Amino acid sequence: MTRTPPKDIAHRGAPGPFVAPSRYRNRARIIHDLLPYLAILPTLVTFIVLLGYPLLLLLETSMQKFGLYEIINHVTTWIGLQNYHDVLFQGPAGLPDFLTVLFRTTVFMLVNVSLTIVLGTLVALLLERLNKWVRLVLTAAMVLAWAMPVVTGAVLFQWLFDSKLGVVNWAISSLGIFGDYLNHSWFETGLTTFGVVTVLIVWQAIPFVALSLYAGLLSIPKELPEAARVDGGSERQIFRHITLPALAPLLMMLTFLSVIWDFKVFTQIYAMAQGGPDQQTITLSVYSYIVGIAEQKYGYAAAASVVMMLLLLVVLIPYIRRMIRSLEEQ
Amino acid sequence: MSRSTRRIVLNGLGILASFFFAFPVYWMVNTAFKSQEQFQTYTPIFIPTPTLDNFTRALNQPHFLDYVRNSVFVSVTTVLLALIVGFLAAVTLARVRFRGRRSFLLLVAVAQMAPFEALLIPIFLAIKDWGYNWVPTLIIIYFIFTLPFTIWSLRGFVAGIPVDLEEAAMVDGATRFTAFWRVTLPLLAPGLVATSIFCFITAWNEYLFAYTFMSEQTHYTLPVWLVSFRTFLGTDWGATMAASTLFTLPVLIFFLVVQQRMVGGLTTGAVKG
Amino acid sequence: MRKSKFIPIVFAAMLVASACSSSSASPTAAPATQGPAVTQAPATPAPTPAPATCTTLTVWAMPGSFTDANAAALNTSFEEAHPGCVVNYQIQQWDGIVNKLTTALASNNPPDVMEIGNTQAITFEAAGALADLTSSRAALGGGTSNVSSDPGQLWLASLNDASVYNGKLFAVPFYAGDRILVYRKDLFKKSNIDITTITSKDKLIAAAKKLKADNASVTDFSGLYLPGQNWYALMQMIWDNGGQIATQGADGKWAASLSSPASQKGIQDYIDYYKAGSTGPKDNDEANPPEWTLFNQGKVGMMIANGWEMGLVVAKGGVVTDAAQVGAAKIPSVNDGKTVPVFLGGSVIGIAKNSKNQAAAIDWVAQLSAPAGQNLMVGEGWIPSLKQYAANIPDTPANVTLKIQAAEAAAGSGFTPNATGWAAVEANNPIKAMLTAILTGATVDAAAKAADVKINAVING
Repeated sequence: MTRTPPKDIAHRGAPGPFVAPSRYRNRARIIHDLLPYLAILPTLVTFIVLLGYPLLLLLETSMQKFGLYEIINHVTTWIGLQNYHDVLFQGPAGLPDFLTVLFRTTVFMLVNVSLTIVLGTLVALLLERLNKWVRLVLTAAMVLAWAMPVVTGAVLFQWLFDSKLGVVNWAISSLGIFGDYLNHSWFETGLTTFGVVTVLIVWQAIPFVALSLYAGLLSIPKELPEAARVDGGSERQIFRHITLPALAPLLMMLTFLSVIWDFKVFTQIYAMAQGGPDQQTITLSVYSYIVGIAEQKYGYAAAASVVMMLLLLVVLIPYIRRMIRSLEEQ
Repeated sequence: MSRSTRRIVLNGLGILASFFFAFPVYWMVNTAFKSQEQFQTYTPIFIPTPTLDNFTRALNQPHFLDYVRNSVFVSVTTVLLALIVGFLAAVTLARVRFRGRRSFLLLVAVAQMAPFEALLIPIFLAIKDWGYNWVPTLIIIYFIFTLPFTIWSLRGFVAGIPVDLEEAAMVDGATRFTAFWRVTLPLLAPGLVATSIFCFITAWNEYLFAYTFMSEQTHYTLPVWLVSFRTFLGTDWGATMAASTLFTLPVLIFFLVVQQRMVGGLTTGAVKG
Repeated sequence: MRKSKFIPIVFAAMLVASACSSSSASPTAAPATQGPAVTQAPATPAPTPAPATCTTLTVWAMPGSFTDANAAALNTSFEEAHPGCVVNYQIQQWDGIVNKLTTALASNNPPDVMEIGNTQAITFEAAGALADLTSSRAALGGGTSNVSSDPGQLWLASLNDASVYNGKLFAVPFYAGDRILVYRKDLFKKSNIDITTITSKDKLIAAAKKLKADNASVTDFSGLYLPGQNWYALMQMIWDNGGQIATQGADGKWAASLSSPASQKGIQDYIDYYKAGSTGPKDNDEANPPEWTLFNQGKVGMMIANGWEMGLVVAKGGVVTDAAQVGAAKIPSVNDGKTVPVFLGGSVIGIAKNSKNQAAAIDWVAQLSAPAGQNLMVGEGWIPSLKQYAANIPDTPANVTLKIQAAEAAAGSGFTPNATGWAAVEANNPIKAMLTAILTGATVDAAAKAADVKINAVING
C-alpha cells in the first residue's frame, strides 16, 4: 500500500494553505463534483430512455383503440380515457368486477408476501445455526427450487396435487391421520386452488429472501450478539434489539420487491387453473390477460397495467420514502 | 434444552426444510428418468427403473446447440452489463452525497415497479425497426429488467462495508481508487456473486420476450426449447422434465462454484468490520 | 487472500462473454442480410400460377404437423419449381403463439406462409392480417365457392368455415383430426361385449356399467373414462341433440345458447356418461392426468379420445402392452345407429397481407391440395383437407383409425363458434367451470345459464 508516491495526494487536490488557487484546481473540483453524475449517467439513460420510451408508448396505446387490426395496419384511433373507464367501471358482465378482483388480488398478495417474508426470515435464522453440511444441503435445495423454470414448477405442482395420481394425496392418506384423501380435488374450489398456487409461489420465493437475509445476518459483527449473551440477554431480546434492526433495511427492500412481484403474479395462477374454478382465481393480471391479450385488446391491457402500476405507486410511495430514509440512516 | 439437543433439533429442522425445497425438484428429476407408463401412477414410484429415453429425445431436438449458445451469450452478457452499470450507480449512491440522490433512489424504485409483461407490445413497437429477430435485443431488454434490482442489492452490500477500511488504506498512502480496488472490492465479492445469481436466473429463464421477439430457430434461447415438446398431439412430459432438469443444472453448478466464496467472503467482511 | 482469487473469476467471465459474443457474430448479422433479400413480387396475388419469383420464402409451421422428411419433400419440390428461391422453414411453438404471430405480422419482414390453429384463425382474418385469397381459390384447390355447403366447395366444411371470413377466403385448409371411441379389445372379449352392438348412448352406458362390474377388482377402474372437463366431448353431445354453444343473429352478433333445451339435453348426456362410473377428476380435463396414461395402466375400458392417442395407450411396462388389445370405433349418438357430430380440430394456412412474396406463397400452399400433398397428410395420420380425399383414404392396416375418423367427420362435424371473441372465451373457459359445477351439485339449468352470461360477455370481441 505504501508503494503509492505521496505526491498523488496533492494530485487529488487536497486543500492546503500553501497550494495557491489555480485553474488546474478548479477544473479538478468541477470534475470531482461531476463524477457522481457521470457514474449514474448510464443508469439514468437506461431508465429514462430505454425504459421510459416503452412506458410512454404504453401510456399512448392505453388511450387508443389498439388491437391486432391497428398494430398490423398501422392505424391510430384515439379514444381518450375510454379504456380506463372500461377497466374501472365496466368490467365485462361475465367477469367479476374490478373492485372484487382488486380486493382478491390484494388479499392474495398480502398472504403470499407475509408467508414469504416470515418463513424466509426463519429459514435465514435457521441457516445461521446449522452445521456446515446441513447448511450446504439446505442452500443447494433452495437454489434448485429457485432456479426451476416457473412453467415446469406449475406443471409439477399440478401433478403433485392431482386428485388421484398426486403424491400429496397419497402421502396424506398414507399418514392415516386425516383419513382417506385419495380423491380429494384441490382444484375444485377457489380457496384450495389459491392454496396450491400459494405453496408454489412461497416455495419458489423463500430461497431468494432467505439467502439474502442470511447474507445480511453474516454481515452483523459477531461480537454484538455474543456480548449481549454474556450480559444475560435472551435469544428473543438479541433478535429484537440487535438482529432485527440490523436487517431492517434489507427486510424492507425484500418486502417491497415481494409486494411488487406477488401483486403481478400471472404464470403460476394461469398455468395451473386459467383463473378457474368458475373464475374464482381471476386476479388483476389474469383479468387483464383474458380481456387484453387473449382478445388482443392491447389498448385495454395497457390501461389495465397503467392502473395496476399507479395503484402500486400510490400505495408504495410512502413506503419507498421510508425505505429510502432508513437506507440513509444505515 | 441442552446445547446439543438444541443443535440436533435445529439440524433436524434444517433437513426437513431441505426436503420441502428439494422434493418437487426431486420429482422433476425422478420423472425425467421414468418411462412413459411410470410417470403417473396410483402408488407413486420414488425410484424408477431409469431410462435415458427422455434425455435422448430432449437433446435430439433440432437446433439445441444454437439455443445453448444464445442462452449463454445472452445471460452472461446481461449479468456483466447489469453488474457494471449497476455497480457504478450503487457505489455512488452508497458512498457519495450528491444532490438529487433521493430522487435518483426513487427513480430506481419506480423502475423496479415497471410492468414488464405489459410492456411486451410497447417494447415491440420500439424495437421493431432495428431489433426484431436480433439476439442482442434480448440482452438490452433483460438488462433493463435486472438493473433496478442490481442497484438496490449492490448498494446495500457497498453500504455494509465500513468506509473506515478504505480511509485506513488512504492514510497508508493509497489513492481513493486503489483503496477501493484493493480493500472494498474483494469484500464486495459475495455481494456481486449474490446479485449476479439473481440476474443470471432472470435472464436464463425468460421465455415471453425470447420467443416473441426472435423468429428463427437459430435465434432462440433455451426456454423456447423447454416448451418445444408440446405439439398438436399433446405434450411429451418425459422430455419436458428431462429438459427442465438439464436446464436447471447450470444454475446449480454456477451456485456451487461460487457459494464457498460467497459465504467465505461474507464472514471475512464481518470480521474486519 | 480471497480478493486475489475473485478477480480472476471476473476476468474469466469476461473472457467467456467476449468469446461468446464473437462466436455469435453470424446470427446477429443475419437480419441485415435478410432485409433486402426481397424482389419485386406483385403486391396482389397473380391469378396465373406461372412460377413466381422470390429469393427467400419464409414458412412457419407448428410442431407435429409434418415430419421433417415430409416438410423437406414439400420444400424441395417447391424450390425445384422456383429456381433461385429458397424456403426458410421454421417450426414455432404453441405457447404464446398469438403474441408471436401478432408481432411477426406487424414487423417489417413478416413470414410469408404460416400455419394457424383453426380456432385461432378467425382472429387474424378479422384483423385484416392475412391476404385475401378469394381470387386464387381455384388455384389453391378449393373449388369455386366460398360457401361450405355448395357443391363447388371442395374442402371439409369445418375447415372451410375456419378459412372464410365475411364471405372472403383468407386461409387455406391444412388438415383435420377428430375424436373416436378407444376401447380395450381384450376386456370386451372377456365381458362378451361386441363393439358393433354399441350403437347408441344407452348401449354405451350399459357396456360401461358391465365393464366396470366385471373389472371391479381393478382399483379406480372406469368402464367409460371421462374427466370432469372434457368440453370437446361435451360440444359433440350438444350438437348431437341439436343444440349449439352459441348462435349468430342476423346482426352478426353471437349469443351463447348452452341453456337452450337442446343444449341442456347434451349436457345431461355428458353427466349421464360421467355418472356411469367414470373415475375421472371432476376438476380437471383429459390432459390432467393424461387419459392415455390411465388407459395404459389398465384403468380404462373405453374413452373418448383423439386418434393420435391410439399410439400412446400402448406402452411397455403398463397393462396395455400390445396394439392388439386396443380398438377404435365411432362414437355413438343418442339416436340408435348414428354417430355424434365430431369436433374437427386442425390447422389452416394463411399468407401474410404484408408478405412481399404472395405469388410464390400461393404456389407453396397450393402444393397441399395437390394429390401429393393430400397423400402426405394421410401418411401423417391426419384427415386430408379435401372432401374427396377424406372419403377415399386407402384401405391399409395403418389407416384403420384414420378411416374411422374420416367416416365420423363425413357423417357430421362441428366447430367452435367462429366469433372474434372466441379466443377470449377459451382463455377462461366457462364451459369447463360449468361442468365442474354440475358434477359438484349445481343443476344443469342454473349452471348453463351462468355459463351463457359469461360467454356472452366476451364472445363478440
